[in-house]
Amino acid sequence: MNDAELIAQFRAGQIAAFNTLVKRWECPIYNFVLRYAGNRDDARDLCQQTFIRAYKNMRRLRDPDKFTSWIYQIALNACRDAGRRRSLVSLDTLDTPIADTTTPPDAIVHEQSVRDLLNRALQNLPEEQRVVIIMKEYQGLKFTEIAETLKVPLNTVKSRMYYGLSALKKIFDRWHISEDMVRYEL
Amino acid sequence: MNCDITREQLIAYLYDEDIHPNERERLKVHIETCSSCSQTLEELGSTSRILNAWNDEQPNLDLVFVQERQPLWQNLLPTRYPKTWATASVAIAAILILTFLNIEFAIRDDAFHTSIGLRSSDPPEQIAIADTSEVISLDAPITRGEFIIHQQNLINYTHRLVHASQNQQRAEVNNTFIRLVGELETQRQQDLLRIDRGLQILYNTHATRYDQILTQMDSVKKELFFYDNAAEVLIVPEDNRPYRTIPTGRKTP
Repeated sequence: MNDAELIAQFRAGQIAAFNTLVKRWECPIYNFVLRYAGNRDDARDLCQQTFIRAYKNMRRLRDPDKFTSWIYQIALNACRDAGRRRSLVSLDTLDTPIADTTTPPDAIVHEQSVRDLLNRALQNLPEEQRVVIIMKEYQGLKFTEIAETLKVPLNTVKSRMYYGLSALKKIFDRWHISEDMVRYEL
Repeated sequence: MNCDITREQLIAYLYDEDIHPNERERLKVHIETCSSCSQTLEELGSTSRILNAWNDEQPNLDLVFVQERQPLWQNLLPTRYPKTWATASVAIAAILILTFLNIEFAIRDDAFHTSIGLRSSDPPEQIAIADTSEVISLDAPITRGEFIIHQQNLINYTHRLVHASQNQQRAEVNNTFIRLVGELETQRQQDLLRIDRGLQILYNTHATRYDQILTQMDSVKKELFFYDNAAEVLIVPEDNRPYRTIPTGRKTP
C-alpha cells in the first residue's frame, strides 16, 4: 500500500494507517534530523515532533502524492524552530557508543570516529548548504524534490550542492580525511 | 574552473540527473579534454563518497499514535436529543405564564370583576329598575309619610342592586373556576403525554449508547492486543493541548 492510500485510510478514520506511515518513515526522518541537529537526544525529540505535526496537519496536505516533500518540510521546520530556541548545536553526543555485539570493538570505535568527524564537518557548513547535502547524499531525494521541499529554484539547489561539496572538500583536506581512511575493511 | 561549463552542469553530470543525453555526451567529451573540470569533478565525487561512509542508524523509537477517547461517563449523557427536556420545560413554563396572563381584573357596571381563561360570555344580569310609575314628579308637593315611603323604596332598590351584583359576581367566579379546572386537567394530560414520550426517547438513546460503548470497548481491546510490542504510546488530543507519552515498560527488541 503506497503513501497516498495510507493517507486516504487515515483521513477516513483509521489511525492504524497513520501508524503504518510512521513505521515506514521513522528511519529516514530520524536520520535526517540526526544529521541536521548533530545529536541523538535532539533527533529523537525532533522526530517525534515531526510526526505529531504530521498527524495534526494531515488534512492540510492537498496532494497525497507529494507526501515526501511535505514530511521533509515539516521535519526541516521542526529543526529550524529548535535551532532558533537553541543557538548552539552540540557536537559531542555522537560519541555515545551504540550497542552492537556483532562488530569488533575497534570497528565500532572507528565507525563512531568517522561518524563524529563527518558530523562535525557538516555542522561547519552554512545551514542552507547542509540541508541540500543531507537531502541528496543521505535521503536520496532528487534535485527537483529538494527544490520543491525548500521552495527554491532547481539551479539554486544545484549551486548550493556544488558550494557545499567544495567546502567539505577543504575541511576534509584540513583534517586529513580521505576515502582510504573512512573505508574500513573487516 | 575557467571554461564555460557551469557549476550546475557539473553537478547534474556528477549525479546524472536532470540532464539531456546530448548534453551529457557534450560534457563528457569536454571533461575528458579539460583538466580543470576533470579535477573538480573528481574532487566532488570523492567528497560524495566520503560522506556516504556515514551509515544510517536505527531509531528504535517505536512511536504509536492513539486517538484520545471521551471518558465513559460522558457517553451516558444524551447527546442527540438534548432539546427534549428544554422544550418540555419551556412548554410548561409558557403554559403557566399564559395561564397567569389570562387573569383579567376589570371594573364594569360599578362592580369589580375578575376572570381567568376565556372571557365570560354571559351577559350581566339586568337589574330591574323600579317602576317609573312609582317615581313621583318632583314638582308636586309630598307629605311626610310619602317621603318616608319613597326613602324606603330607595333603600330597597339599593339593596336589590347590591344583591344582584353579588349574585352576578358569584356566578362569574364559579364559571371561571370550572373552566380553569377543565383547562388545567387538559394541560396536565398533555404534559404527561410529553413526559412519557421524552422518557421513551431517553430510554432508546441509552440503549443505543450502551451498545456503542460495548463496541468501543471491544475495539480498544483489539488495539491493545495489536500494539502489544510498543515501547511507548503517544496520546494526541484533537485540540491544541500538549500531547503526552506513556512508556509501556516493554523492552524494545
